[in-house]
Amino acid sequence: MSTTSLLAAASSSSAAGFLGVDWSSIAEVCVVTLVATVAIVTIFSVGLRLLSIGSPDDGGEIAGHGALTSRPAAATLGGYVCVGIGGAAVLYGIYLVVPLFH
Amino acid sequence: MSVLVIVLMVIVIALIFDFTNGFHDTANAMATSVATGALKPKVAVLLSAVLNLVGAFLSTQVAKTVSSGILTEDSKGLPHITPVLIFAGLVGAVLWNLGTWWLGLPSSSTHALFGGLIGAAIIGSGVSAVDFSGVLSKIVLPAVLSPFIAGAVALIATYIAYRVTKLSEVHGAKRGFRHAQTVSASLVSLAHGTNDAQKTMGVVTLTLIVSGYQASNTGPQIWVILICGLAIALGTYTGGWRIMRTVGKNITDVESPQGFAAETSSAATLLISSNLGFPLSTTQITSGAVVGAGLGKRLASVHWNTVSKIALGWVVTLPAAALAGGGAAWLAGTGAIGLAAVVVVAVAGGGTFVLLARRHPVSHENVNDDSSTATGRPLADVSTGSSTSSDSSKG
Repeated sequence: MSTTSLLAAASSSSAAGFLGVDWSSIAEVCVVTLVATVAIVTIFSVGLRLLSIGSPDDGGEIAGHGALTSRPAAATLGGYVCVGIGGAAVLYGIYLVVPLFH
Repeated sequence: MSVLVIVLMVIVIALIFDFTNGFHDTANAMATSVATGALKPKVAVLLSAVLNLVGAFLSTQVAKTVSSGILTEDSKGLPHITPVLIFAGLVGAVLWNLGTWWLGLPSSSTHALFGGLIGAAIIGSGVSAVDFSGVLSKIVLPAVLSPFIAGAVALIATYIAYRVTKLSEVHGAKRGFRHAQTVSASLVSLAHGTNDAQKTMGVVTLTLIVSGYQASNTGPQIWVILICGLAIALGTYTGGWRIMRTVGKNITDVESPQGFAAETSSAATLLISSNLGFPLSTTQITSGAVVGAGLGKRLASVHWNTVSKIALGWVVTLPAAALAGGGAAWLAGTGAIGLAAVVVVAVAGGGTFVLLARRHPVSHENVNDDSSTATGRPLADVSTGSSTSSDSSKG
């Protein structure tokens, strides 16, 4: 259980800073959140883009990219890896939510 | 009046609060998924309800420390509050939650709860019963920071999602984003369950402890966990459609890449902040993320007058609930008749909001209507003419 570490983190926040606030932990939250979200969204979007190779765009101009062509195996693999990384991030999220796991 | 009667009254009003908490916060996790059609409305609330129930059983850490840092404690480690004051505080919180629901405002149930308790504690035990520096660092500051952090992250994430997928025109992108959005929204729902159901458990447990039915420094009993989990899940399933329409449609018309970016930002902000020991508030995170997602798409318009109404609601929530809780505490403090009067006022007030809401109902059927065409009034009347386009430069 991480009760103790959570409590320690909570009590350390009262230790320092202007207005009794631990500003460095806020800055940490900002940076980690930004990096994690941007990484997940970018990787997942790249995955969707890779998996779309060879298919005409949805909607838009009818001419588009023309007929369906086959997708290179590398693009397929890369696409699934990217989507898989997104899935792994979700599993890690569940791990963080459930205290029994840590 | 016997202590047992008061304790039972607290448990009943706590469960009612938990129920309102559930339907108030369904929108947090599910509004964008309903708006983009990633989930059918009924499926979304069912999923959210189940995840809230599951979440209630996963952790009881918050429940043990619900009032610590907000209310000052005596030598035995108990806050200066009695069951009657807790009851009064909860009445204030419930009334505020129902009022904001009627208006369709996504206000924080946590702020309503603590506002009510703070107001009641001040009336009952004096100003010294409240730890104001704790209120600032644990409630006010997180509420101010949350929307900006989550909003900025969602803005960048939305921009990237649109850029990489050519405005999500590439084949399968919309569908892919919808699936991903459902998953990240579910994570938000689960995290919400582990947080909010516990706050009610904490209040019930606190009541049992201060009235001598339970030893201090013990966690919630299993029946408390069960009824609180069920109450919040039932509330969630009922669906706060009024608030969902505000978040999913009236702030900005959310598309699936925006929904994905907003929910991913919300989930990340929520999980990372609570794991780094600086918990932020769910309501403020998710609303901020939706605004950010609206700004992240070029040409997208954010309805700033809706946003400003929501922001005003956030500012007012804690003091308003404190006033209501304080008033109830003052009335209840006059004796049994006063307490009965509080019950009457609570039922009448709550009933009024429910009846008012019935005049312009929002249900799973019209949750996605644009409010300018819908008959509903909640928050409403956001005519497109009054909105401002955030960024009309294309590029």
